Amino acid sequence: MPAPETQEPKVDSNEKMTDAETVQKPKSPEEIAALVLNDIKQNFGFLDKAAVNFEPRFSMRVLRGLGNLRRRLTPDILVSTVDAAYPSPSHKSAALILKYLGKEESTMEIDESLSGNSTPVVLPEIDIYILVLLQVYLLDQGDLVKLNSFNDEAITILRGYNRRTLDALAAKMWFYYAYGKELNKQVVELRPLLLAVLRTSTLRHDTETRAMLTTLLLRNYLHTQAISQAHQLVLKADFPESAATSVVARYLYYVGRIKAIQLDYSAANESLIGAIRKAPQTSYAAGFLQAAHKLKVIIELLMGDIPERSWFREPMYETALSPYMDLVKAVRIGEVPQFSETIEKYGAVFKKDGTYMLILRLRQNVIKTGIRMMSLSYSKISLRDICIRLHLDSEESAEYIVAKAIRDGVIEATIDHEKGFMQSKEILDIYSTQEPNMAFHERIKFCISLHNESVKAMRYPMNQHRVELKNVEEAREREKELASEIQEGDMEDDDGDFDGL
Amino acid sequence: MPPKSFETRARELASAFAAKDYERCSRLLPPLKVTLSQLNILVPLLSSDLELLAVARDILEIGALTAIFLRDDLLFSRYIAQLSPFYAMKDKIQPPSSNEKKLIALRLLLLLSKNDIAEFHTELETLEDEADKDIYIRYPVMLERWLMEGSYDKVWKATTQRSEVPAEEFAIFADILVDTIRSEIATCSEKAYPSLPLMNAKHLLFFTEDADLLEFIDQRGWSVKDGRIYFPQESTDPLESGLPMENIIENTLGYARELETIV
Repeated sequence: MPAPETQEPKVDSNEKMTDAETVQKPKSPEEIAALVLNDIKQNFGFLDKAAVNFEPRFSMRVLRGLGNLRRRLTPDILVSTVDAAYPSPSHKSAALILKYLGKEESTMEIDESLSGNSTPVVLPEIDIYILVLLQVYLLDQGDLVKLNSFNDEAITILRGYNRRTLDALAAKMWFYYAYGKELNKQVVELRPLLLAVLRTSTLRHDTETRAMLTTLLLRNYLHTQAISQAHQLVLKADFPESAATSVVARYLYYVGRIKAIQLDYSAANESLIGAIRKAPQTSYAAGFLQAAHKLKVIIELLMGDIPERSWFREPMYETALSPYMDLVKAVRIGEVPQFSETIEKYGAVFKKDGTYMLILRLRQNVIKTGIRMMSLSYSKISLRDICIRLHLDSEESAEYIVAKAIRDGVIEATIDHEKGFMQSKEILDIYSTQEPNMAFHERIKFCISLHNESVKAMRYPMNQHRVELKNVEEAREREKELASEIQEGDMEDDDGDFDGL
Repeated sequence: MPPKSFETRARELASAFAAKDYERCSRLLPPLKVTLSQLNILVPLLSSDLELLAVARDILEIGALTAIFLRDDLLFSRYIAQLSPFYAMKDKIQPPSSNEKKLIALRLLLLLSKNDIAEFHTELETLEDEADKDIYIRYPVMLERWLMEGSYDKVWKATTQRSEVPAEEFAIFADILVDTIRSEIATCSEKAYPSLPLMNAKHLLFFTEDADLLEFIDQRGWSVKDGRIYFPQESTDPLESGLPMENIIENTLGYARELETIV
């Protein structure tokens, strides 16, 4: 076996290994494979613990490592995994996986009666985990046809189980199943199945799967623009808030989109803020964060606020959000022709993002901003001038538009119809109204709810504090011993100890 | 019922509609719908017979248009609801319907006249591109835009002048729309003008007769003096209305309670 070029001690943390791989000549494929296999076997241990102790944290940990693993999977590694995990290649899942890897053994006979539904030796968690690994592998290969047929069979295996410890893994499997179908454009047919499984998982109090399925259904409906159905789902199906934060983040994003379409901008804004906060803030979530930010920008514009410029400068968002930056500029200036130009220019981008229709609604915001600026800068301005500056079509329209703006509370002014001008009112001292009180109230409410939620989210591992107490006592005993030893040592001859100095 | 008489009845319906005999149409429709459900094509499923689906869709469309002419909003909405699964499957049903866009546009117009803007936009989302290109759909979309902006004169022109309206069915909504804009303009005027001469008011509100104007003024509760209309002024002085003490007390007690729970 060829020895690696430099004798680096084998490190066990994943990041260091990839560094080591790139810095020197890559290790031989067998060694890389062995390392990955070790990781997978470690995960088996975790899953085992999860099943025995009913602790979902271990399954979550395994799933977190999924992203890292998927980049290093090869067919050979998968085959050795199958060998390691399943007692015989005739086990149903093992046979399935080998078939899809194209490594069917010719002497294999799938004897259903022999192997039974699942031999008691193979843990269902491990079974499903390996199936998920294969799903991810097929997806990365881009082999959609294979992926879909594999998915169908894998899901049948999954539905045969009914164990709560499988929740997190099952949710992942459903995600890839639905994603595969979506890429294959079989979106509408998916719905009855998803609804049925949602019902089952609700009956079984399967929070992870329930959350994931609700989110998948929402995505499905939004994909085909069935907004009212999505809205009904949000109203009727309770979303379990205790699910994994990534799923909650996605759910909040979809809810935000639905509400934005239905003109409920403040609620949509709240949902999106929640989504952005719950999403992981690393670069792995870049796609999601960009999409969420795009939507947030639009909603802020629709509510009449201008989003902060500092966001657009962050490296993660700069390129993705640059069309939106131009849009914000156009709205801020308040000129309709420039706004129409920006829409023309970036029309394709907006349509792809699904925000085009929302942006069209911004037209009135542009006009309102224009009027507001007029009212603030001029104490008295003729309607004709307004008409010219805002590029409106006629003086009549200008008059009506200004009247409506006054009614909506955008500006404080009066119109003198005969003389044909608009006169701004005196600026009201805002501190004499209820405004500051209400603003304070909102902020206080928010801080209090944040505090309460953090307290609720704190978790203490069960019985761990007793172990800690024991440790603390042991530590104290050790210290006592140490102290007494030092004391005794003092009484001996010191000089010999300080020779080294 | 054997399909043959079904086809003859369908043709009868089509001819009645073409002759604008709407009463007759409305009498022929319910038994036809019963036949449709017996033939299993009232609700299009993947298992239904595709050719018959096209016939079913045409019948339902005639029903919807009849309801418009008879000014029955509920009936129209029901027909549209029944038609929507047909339109969802439109790739599979041949030939494509020529009335589809018109009916969608009519539905949008109905929502607009009832001021149901949320539903309006929800429906609009499903249409995407077609909004700009199709002449029928463009009509309610532009109307909504102008209403939101506040250029009521454009709305007025679009609804009352025959040249602008794409089809005669849209004209039926004209009355409702005119009422809507009038009330909108009235509300805006109350806030915007301190007072208004009668002549200008007549012009602004698109009235032709003085009598109509006076009736409208009575309805809104405005006062007329020396040929000018005076709008009721609101008192904007916040201190006059008094502090909302209950509210403040409630809030402060809430804060105190929460703070106590912090250890």
